[in-house]
Amino acid sequence: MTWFVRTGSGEAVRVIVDGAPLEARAGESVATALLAAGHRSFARNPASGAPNGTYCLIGQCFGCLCTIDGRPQSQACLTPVAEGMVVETGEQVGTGDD
Amino acid sequence: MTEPVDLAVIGAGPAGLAAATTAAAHGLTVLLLDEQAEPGGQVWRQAERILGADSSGLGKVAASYGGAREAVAALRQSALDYRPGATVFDVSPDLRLSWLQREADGGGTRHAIREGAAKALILATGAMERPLPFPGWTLPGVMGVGALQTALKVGGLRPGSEGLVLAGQGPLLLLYLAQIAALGGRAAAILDLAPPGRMTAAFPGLPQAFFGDPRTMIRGFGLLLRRALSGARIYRGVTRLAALGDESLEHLSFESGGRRHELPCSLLGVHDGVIPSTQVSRLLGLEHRWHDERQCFEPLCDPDGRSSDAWVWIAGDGGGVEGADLATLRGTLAALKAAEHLGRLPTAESEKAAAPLRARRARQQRARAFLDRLYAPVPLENHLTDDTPICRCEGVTTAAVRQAVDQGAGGPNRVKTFTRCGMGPCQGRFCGPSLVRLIAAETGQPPDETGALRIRPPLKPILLGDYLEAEPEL
Repeated sequence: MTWFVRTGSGEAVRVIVDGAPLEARAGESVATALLAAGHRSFARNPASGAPNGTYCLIGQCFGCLCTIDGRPQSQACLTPVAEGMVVETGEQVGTGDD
Repeated sequence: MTEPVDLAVIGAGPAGLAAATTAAAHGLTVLLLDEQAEPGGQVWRQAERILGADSSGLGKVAASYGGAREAVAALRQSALDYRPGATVFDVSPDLRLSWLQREADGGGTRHAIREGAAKALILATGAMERPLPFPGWTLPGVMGVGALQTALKVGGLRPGSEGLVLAGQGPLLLLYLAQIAALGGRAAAILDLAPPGRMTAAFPGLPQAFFGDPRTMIRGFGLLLRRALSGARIYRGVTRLAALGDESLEHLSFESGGRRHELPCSLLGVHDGVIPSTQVSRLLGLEHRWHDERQCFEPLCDPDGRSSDAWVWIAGDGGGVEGADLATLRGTLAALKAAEHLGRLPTAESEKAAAPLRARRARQQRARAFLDRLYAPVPLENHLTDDTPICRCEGVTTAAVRQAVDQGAGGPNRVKTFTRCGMGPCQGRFCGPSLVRLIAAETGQPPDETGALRIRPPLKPILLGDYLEAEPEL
């Protein structure tokens, strides 16, 4: 059972997601790297605490906010992956205290 | 404070690229700000990578990149100041721009607030998918078709073996279906959310549409044919769509042909056309008008894209959705007029160049008028229930909005105060368009009277630390 499959090819870039290494593709966003790895949700809704859907992938819905290289509330869909980048998913959106 | 440039352009999609390179070619100093790391906007996303990709793989997506090669080459050859990774979060009425700049710094990435000023401004901020709220649309696994297409272009991701269902209507849905088919993917089912009778309503405009823009129309019919051949089961006139699941999407429920259907589904692509992104035009306080057929606000512009502010033009879909082909034309037109207004291009010359562009646009708009009618927005009431969240961020439901209106909130800003609708991280981008339609339906007042959500800086959340580290000249 796979949600998404990769097509085409590209240079590999290694990022760390929630402490584990993940191979991403150069030029892609953190959000597509997470989707490719089977993450269905990257963040929790600030009001309900339910898993957030990643709806738009173009920086409008704010459903993909992660902590990226220590920077909280980063839009994963607008952040290109980079070698050694550290991504933390699942934060409570809007708390901003980390 | 640095010297103002002649022209700032926000957005490096088809309209912004044409505007910036045309203005630079006429000798203007140009600052081009774009949120993405690479030029192309949404429709030409990752243009340089896609155009360079293997024709047996992602290169198959390049068929929808007509004009991209020339536009990006013009950018790379131009001396204009292009800043990718720039998220504009404020623009003042005197055209001082503030943005968060993401840039590589050794092995990592650094963020810094930057500021610049311009004498004239062209907004080329494009469009977003029209939000279509229905029960369960906030579940992980429910995405815009535009988002699925972005995942394809950016990461080479196509739906896997679990099966994809597409729900909605419009050219983008058909294009995406054809793109994944070329790469070996498919949709298990398509839920056509268009109410019956749309083709009959649009039909009288068909000859004019063909005459005005035969290429687009032929391409469109080709996509319809490919949908028919795609093997996807098509359900027509679908109403009462609901996405169900515990932590993420598991199945769909809907009505079609007079009976209720259930389908297992883990990935749903939803699409109901695109609408202008008006965050910056609203922030600047420009005049907007409600477009009744397209069910959205559009900035008020003259035929060259000049807004209600004499120094601000709007080019491309941000000024009313007309597609990528016309976006290039509209970017060129706005740049010619901005150069003229700055006294850098004689009126006779700018008019000579502008006249054929205006004529071509007027001709091609006939096809757009046909598409507007054929794919008129899905009525909200077809799928909304009392407990459907209108506001994804704050979970504010239809019932809560209606109750606020009953209690005297006559416009979006009052509803926001009553309910928190529009107060979450997306700042009303996703609830605003539905909120306006819902209030109009409840009050019977036209949206031009009830208005839209007020937009304030910062347009995107900025960390306090960014301000603390900002340059002293700010």
